[in-house]
Amino acid sequence: MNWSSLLPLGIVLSSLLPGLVIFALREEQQRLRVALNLFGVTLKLLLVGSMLYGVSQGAEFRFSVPLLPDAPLVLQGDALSLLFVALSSLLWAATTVYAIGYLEDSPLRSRFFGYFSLCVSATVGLALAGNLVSFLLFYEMLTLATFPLVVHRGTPESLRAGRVYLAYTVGGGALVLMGVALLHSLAGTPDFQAAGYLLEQVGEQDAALRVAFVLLILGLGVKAALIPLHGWLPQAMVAPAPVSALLHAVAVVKAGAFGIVRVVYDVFGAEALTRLDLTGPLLWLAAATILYGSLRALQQQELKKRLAYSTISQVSYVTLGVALLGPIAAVGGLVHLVHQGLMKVTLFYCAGNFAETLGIHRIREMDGVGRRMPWSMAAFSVGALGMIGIPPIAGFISKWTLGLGALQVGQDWVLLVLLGSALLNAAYFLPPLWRGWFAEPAHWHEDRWAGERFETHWMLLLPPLFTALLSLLVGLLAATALSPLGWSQLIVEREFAL
Amino acid sequence: MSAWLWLLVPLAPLFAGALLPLLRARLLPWLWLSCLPALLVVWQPPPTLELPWLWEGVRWGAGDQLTRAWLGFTAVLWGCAARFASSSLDDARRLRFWSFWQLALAGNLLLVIATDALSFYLGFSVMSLSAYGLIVHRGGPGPRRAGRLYLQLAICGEMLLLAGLLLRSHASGNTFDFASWQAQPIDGLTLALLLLGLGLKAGFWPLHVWLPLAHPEAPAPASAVLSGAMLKAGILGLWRCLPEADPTLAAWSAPLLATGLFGALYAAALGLCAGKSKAVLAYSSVSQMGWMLMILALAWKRGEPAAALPVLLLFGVHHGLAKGALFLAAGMVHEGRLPRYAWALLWLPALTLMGAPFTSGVAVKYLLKDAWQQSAFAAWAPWLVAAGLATALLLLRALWLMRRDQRQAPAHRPPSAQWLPWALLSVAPVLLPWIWPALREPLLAGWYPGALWAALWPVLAALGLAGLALRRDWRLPQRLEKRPNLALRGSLALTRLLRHPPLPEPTLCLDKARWRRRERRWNRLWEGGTLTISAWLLVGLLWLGWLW
Repeated sequence: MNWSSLLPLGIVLSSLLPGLVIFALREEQQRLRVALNLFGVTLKLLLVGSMLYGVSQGAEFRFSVPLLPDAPLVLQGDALSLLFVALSSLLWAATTVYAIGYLEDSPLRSRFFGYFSLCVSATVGLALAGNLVSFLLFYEMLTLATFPLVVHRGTPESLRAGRVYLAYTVGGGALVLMGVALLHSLAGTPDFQAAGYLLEQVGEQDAALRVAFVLLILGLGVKAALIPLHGWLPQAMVAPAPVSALLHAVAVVKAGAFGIVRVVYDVFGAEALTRLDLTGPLLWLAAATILYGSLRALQQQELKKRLAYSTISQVSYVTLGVALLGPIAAVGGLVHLVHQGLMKVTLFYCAGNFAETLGIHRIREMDGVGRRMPWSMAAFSVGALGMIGIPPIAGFISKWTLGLGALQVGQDWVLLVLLGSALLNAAYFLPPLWRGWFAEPAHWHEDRWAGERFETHWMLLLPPLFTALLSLLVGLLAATALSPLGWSQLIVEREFAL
Repeated sequence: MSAWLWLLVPLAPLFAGALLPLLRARLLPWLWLSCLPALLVVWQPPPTLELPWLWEGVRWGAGDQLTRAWLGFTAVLWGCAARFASSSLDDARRLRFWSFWQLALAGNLLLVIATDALSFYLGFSVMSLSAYGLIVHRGGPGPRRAGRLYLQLAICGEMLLLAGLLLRSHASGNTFDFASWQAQPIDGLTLALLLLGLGLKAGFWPLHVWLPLAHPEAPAPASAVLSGAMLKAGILGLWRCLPEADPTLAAWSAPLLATGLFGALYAAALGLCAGKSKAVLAYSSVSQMGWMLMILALAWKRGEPAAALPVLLLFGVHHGLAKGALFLAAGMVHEGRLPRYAWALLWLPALTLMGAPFTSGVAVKYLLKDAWQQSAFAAWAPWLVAAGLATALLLLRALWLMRRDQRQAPAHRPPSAQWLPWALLSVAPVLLPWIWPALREPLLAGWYPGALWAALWPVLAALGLAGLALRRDWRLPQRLEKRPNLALRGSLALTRLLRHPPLPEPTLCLDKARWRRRERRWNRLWEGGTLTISAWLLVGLLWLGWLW
């Protein structure tokens, strides 16, 4: 056991162990809990940082213990897993700060933060998983760890949302399990590898491979919120704002999209999929989800619900980029994994700020909020304009890369989908912006922190400003090597064999 | 000089804008200074700045004539308008106005100095979206309506432009610098997308619908920059994105020329029916954009753009400055009484646009006629005269309306902070040819009686016609004054549609009782001989297994 094999384990444990300790804390041990949380966050960021450096220098990180016959538990750090690990650790850090501020006086905080840490540990484990069985393990763990967070408020509504969430995700998990088992019986469970490991079976076991692919995509599609498996996501928006951030940007939805990337590129591989004729339907499904999610978002009058449908639409950009099977499109899909996370988390933080400070839940109530809370509204604007794809915000880079990628593989119609989605995004994001900046201020029922120095609690204000700035910076400095775009290009060059 | 100065061109307005929340009203009289770096690089262009960490292959700034002249007039116009606005706007919402102003300025300057499509698009969209804040500044239903239409079209334009840029970038091997695009042939679809996307900003007929609504609603300095500088961004974009010589372009040039010509005449006709001075000026801008489209078409037909570039450039500069001055004047006549010599000054930009002798207008006209005669469109020349006459009539109408507005103005003089920048812009078209050799030569070339008469008679004819109209007291028929505005109706319908999209609302059905019922029904099916059937099933399965 040396450093390079312990590091992946350390990254998972750095949030798992503090989380377990937090469960044991009493409710009033506020300081200790915050200290443990922040310790875990810092440690994880440091470890991820060192691993990022190592991988960029070409080092390999692999941790393995026997789990099942022929299927060990493998944690390995490659460029693709690090993209997701870095995103979720960074956003976890911001969300932890946000959650501490958000839940300042509410009950059951130990339970909340405990599951919160578990959830992130599962996400990081899933990102680092080196084979399908380890992936499945963490995938299921994520499902279970998120449920208590969704029902945290304990109201009938949130319990109902939790039931729906479980029904969908456990079902999806079962499908993934079947798919993994089928593949295990066909080809064993080797590590993920560039260009996949199933090419040899193509031609002999076509039907079984197709079934396995459909099972896996359907199972992962539940979390990635592909239609018609998206129903749980808008329901789950009754959860507190930090949980929504977790669901939509940091962990759950992303886990599904990430799983699709893994299955397409590192299990099946582009060539096998082309020979099996499987990416066409996936592409259509992604395109349909993009447009359908946007259309439904247009219909919503509640801010968080609108954001939820917007996630359904935007996460499918990742699937779209993956399903196009071209190098530039793959870069576009991967980079959107990060970009969407940054922008959407900003939007959810801001929605949470509006709700906590002024009691704003519906878009109609947002009139003139820009005058009372200019900073939050500015961050919200950055996120919303980025979603539309206005340069120089991150979303533009994704859209540009995806567009070029679609043209490169000759699927010109995808441009129509991208631009149609951008127009719909404008149609549902510009009205809240207009209300916030240009409408006459409404009368808000509550106004907390009115006399304070900042427009709201500083722990609620800092995270959205940070992520909004980050979404601007990753768009502006897209050509640097450590930007999400540069890193995605590295992944595609090194690992996708396209 | 260091190349980093180019970075300062778009960043100076942003920095100044960032200082706004701190210094608030104290900063306003000095905001025009944020155009200074731009003027500095026009005067002494530093070497091109490469920003490889920004996006791959991004380069800002060039020392060529196009960039320098375009940047120069843009900066002068924005600077003058900013000084004007700092004294003409003093309401509670002005800080918001100025934030949008600085953003739009930064975008406009960036798109001029950009030498690659990504920077251009960045500047273009920042400018387009921020201009919304300028249009709706006054608040109320009118500006809101106009702003809504503007924003809807601007977003559509952005998307069309993005599609065009993506196709163009793909066609030239995923590069996006204009230099390599110049050598790349273009296909019809890309050309159409670029024409639509940029045309919505440039506002030539039939893509002009937002212009006559937005201008009367926006504050005067905002109209000045909108019409003088921002519309031109569309034309500049077309010039930069399209190749120099291309068979597709040549094939499209005749219809485009016809569009431009028709637009120039039709917009003038509409303008004569408009009842507000700024609306008339807006239609005049639409008409002039038609002229610019004609110049582009001429360049594409001839296939040697180097010959047409000076015409385009001079037309842009001259129209930008003169139209800016006219819009400022249209705002100023509401602010106070102008003395008699000020009216003389007010006539200058109008005469320039009409192409009267001794102004930059006549120089541009001379060059244009020259280019026209040498092209394949020489036979269409009489239409050019008609368009010139229409322009002159339109401007006379605008002046007459301003005269009418003046009667309701308060008795005092407008403040000098408005007065000075306006006077500077007004004399610029007359002074400019003497400072700038590119403009001086055509002006001097037309310095003989025949040419002078050729320039003068349309102006005189227009004056005569206008005099006749005044004398006879011609009135517009009511029907023409109150035309239904289809674009506005469409915009409203679209807004309603988007607010309540006619989609069914699917509901999630989690009826446990229903599942339970189904299960019971299923069980009832087997009631009779559950045991027997199960036994048979088992036997069958075992048999199958044995066979296999």
